[in-house]
Amino acid sequence: MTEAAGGDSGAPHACWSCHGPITAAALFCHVCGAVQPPRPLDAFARLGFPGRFEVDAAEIDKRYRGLQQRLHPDRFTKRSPRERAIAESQAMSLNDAYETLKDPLKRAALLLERAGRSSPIGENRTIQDPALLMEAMEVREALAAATDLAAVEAIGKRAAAEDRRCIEALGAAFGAGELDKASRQLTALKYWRKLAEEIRGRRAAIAHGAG
Amino acid sequence: MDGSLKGNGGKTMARPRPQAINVTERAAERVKALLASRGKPSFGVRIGIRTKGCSGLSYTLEFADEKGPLDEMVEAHGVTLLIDPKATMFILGTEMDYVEEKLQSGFVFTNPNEKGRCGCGESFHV
Amino acid sequence: MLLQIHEPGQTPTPHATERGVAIGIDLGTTNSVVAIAAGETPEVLRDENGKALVPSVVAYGEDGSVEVGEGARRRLLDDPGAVVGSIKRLMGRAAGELKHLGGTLPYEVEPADDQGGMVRIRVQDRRLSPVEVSADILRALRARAETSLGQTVTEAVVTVPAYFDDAARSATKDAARLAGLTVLRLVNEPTAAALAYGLDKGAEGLYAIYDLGGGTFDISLLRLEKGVFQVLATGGDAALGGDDFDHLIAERFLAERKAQGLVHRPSIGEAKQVLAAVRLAKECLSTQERGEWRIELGGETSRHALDRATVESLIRPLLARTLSITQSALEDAGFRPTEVQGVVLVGGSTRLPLVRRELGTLFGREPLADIDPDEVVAVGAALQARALTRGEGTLLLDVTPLSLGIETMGGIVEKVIPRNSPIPVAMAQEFTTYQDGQTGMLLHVVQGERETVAECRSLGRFELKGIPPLTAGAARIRVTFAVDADGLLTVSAEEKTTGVSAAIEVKPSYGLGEDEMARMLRESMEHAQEDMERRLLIEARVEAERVLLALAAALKAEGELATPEERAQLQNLAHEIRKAAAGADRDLINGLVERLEETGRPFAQRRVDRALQGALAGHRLDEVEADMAPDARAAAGSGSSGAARTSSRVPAAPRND
Repeated sequence: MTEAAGGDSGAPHACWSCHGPITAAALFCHVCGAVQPPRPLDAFARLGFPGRFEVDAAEIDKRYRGLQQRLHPDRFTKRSPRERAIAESQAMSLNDAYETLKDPLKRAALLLERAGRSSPIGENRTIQDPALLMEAMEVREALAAATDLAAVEAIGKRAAAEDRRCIEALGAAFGAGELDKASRQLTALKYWRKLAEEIRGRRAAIAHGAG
Repeated sequence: MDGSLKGNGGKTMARPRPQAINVTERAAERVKALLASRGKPSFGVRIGIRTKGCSGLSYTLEFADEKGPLDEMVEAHGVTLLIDPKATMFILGTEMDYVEEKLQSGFVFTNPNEKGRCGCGESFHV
Repeated sequence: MLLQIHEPGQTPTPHATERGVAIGIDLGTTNSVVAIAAGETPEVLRDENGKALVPSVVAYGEDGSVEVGEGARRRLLDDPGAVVGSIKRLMGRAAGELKHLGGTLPYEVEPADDQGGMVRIRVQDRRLSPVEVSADILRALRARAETSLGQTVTEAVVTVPAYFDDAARSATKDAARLAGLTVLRLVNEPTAAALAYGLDKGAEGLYAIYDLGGGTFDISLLRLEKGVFQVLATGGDAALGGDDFDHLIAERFLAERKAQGLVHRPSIGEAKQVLAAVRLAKECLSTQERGEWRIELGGETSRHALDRATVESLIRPLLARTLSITQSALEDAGFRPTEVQGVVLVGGSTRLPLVRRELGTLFGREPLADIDPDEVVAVGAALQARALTRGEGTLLLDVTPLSLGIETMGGIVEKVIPRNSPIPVAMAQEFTTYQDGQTGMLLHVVQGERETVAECRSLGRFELKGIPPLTAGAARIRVTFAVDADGLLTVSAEEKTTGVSAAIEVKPSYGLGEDEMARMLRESMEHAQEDMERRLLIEARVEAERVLLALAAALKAEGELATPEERAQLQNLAHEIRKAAAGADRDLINGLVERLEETGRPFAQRRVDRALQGALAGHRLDEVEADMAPDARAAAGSGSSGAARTSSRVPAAPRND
């Protein structure tokens, strides 16, 4: 069963606990107060944001915390194990939505998915863009050759700048509805993120004196 | 405001036994709503007392299917409350209210007999 | 707490359990602390000398006796072979994993009987698992709490280093179980410290918690806002702490002895003595610039001059590691050091002036130590125990400290849940077969940040059977990792393509088999029996005290309502109850209390009657009638509650007029 984001929320449901009628969108049963299982919503719909690349980070935090404060299993320590388990799955869904919306990479991937495109950053995907491929090899070699912190820092600065550039480009591409472009930028962003991870590993290795 | 006798008030009782506790209208309304949503007929709600908790005693509120032989009965605003005989001495003269706070709501007894509350508010010394 | 209406007999007991207050326990490598938060302010429980720290040291006597804490630590010098310390370092560890500890453990460690099982410790003639030793410490902490509260305690929030892996967390939970404690929540130590500052000191904003304990280092970044404590990033090293500083200094002393031509090689027991001397020296140098220490081993005495600068130069490389981990955590969360509004110090090792100086430089502000760094974690644990049992508004949102993944071909780790993911969390990944007709798949679950399996910690291997035979790469096996709010992992797997679902669901075991756990639980039943007896006795005494107080109050207020015979009988019974309550015969106390209640019933009934009469006498008739007569009230409409309120506020002891 698939459900369009935000849609169908007016249809009545039966509460799992008291079987009372409730709307599908209700987090709690208004008859018995029991927390309801999470609905199959994507991250935008779960936190109540429109499906746009630009998001208000502070507002994401605010809504996430507000919802966790009501749904987290720690709020249900006196309830039945079943209700606690439901609260746990609610908290898991919220955490997943939060991580997706906060991260430009995951957010962009979700937007492409919403538009019916397969994610360019899934498993076993190789870089198709020849220019990016060249750049990737070049930077990797530089990183491997770097023996002091300063050299690693320089590459790190470049990666951070590219990261920002990709995010800006993603915003522009989604804004203009250019999904192919967005897809390419997303691949590039994924690559720079992975490199940033390697840069950190290299820096730690040098700092710990492992060369 | 205070209900003086009017209309059919001429049917006076011989010697009215006063109620053991006072119930606010808000509390009564809430009890009524809860009784209605219980899903089966109830005699009323029984107030009991339990001798556990961090400083000795705590009240309990449970649906009652029938009146116990020694239960004290209180009628207020159209609802029936039963008081467990063990609880009578402690609860005498208290007021039962219903409060809604930001994060929780529930019933509360204001007890002039009460000397100390533990930090949690669930228990009391007499 | 507001009351709810429940089904008959279903009323939950106060504080969520009928067993009363839940305690907070900081189970440390070197010292442990227990705290309660029953009232407004949390309270750290101390011994008769005002000491909160219970050394995490256990002494095992030849007669089977167990001593925990200061007494055990003192025996370290006289009877080192009987004493175990720093057990936390071994929680969940297999023998093969102890190489990096490099002989730093001053007692004999043996591998478990089964391969990969948790190590065992040889002490006296006993062979103990770290879980059992930890349980002994927890039992002592529980007893301290019970003595202080005068009631039994069966629930606790126990803290663990944020960087503790799944095995060590499970081991800690099991130790608590052995000690008769249900763990309401495992809370990360730095998070608990943040909770203490947030709730007790009203701190808000971005906070860094720098926790350098005896055996572990943790750094956590949290955002504190309106009762929500959100961990943004965490990092650490589960094998780096103040103990390592001690070892560096001890090595220096021993090297100096060698240089002085002393040949005696210290035994395990003597090594413990050297470490004890070193600890004193280190503490001394936190406040003084220099000093001299004397060590006598095997009749050979050596003198060692040491100054603070030397100690600092010895430990600086270890500190640099903590600072580098701190910077990584900041990067993970996307913050610069200067954006941090407060740096909270946790752990005894943060007393070293060098630690405070280095942190001051990194963050550009003085670190906070308003709450004793040794006690702050236990305080936070107690506050969380209260929040969980009482359903307060406080909420902790924590993260996974380490990435969790699956081994794929070539020993490469495929991460399923990245570190610093908020918990609870469930994430799934699809894997496939690599051989035609493959019907089984071995899932090797690992935890850690490195790319290769060899460098990560293995949490367990599970086999998924019943995969339909397909060509290589055609099967779709969905592996789901779920981490609960305690940070504990459950793995499940399912084959998706054919609709034939071959599913497994397992929790990684950490080398303490179910059989073993069952045996240990059986052995701890002795304790459990004692616990149960003690608990029932405490309850009987509490009940007796309540009844006696009620009787005294009733006789004082309205003694005239009791006949002289009743009075004499009641007082006689009260005397007997008092005598019985001083003893340990629970049935006797309960029986007498019952008799007292029986005997006092007519008197109580007379009091109720009079109280009700008094209510009537004290008020105007119309008030009473308005209150009492349902039909009259109905006629008067619904606005009568104001009068009713006044009329039934009956004083406990009505006027005797």
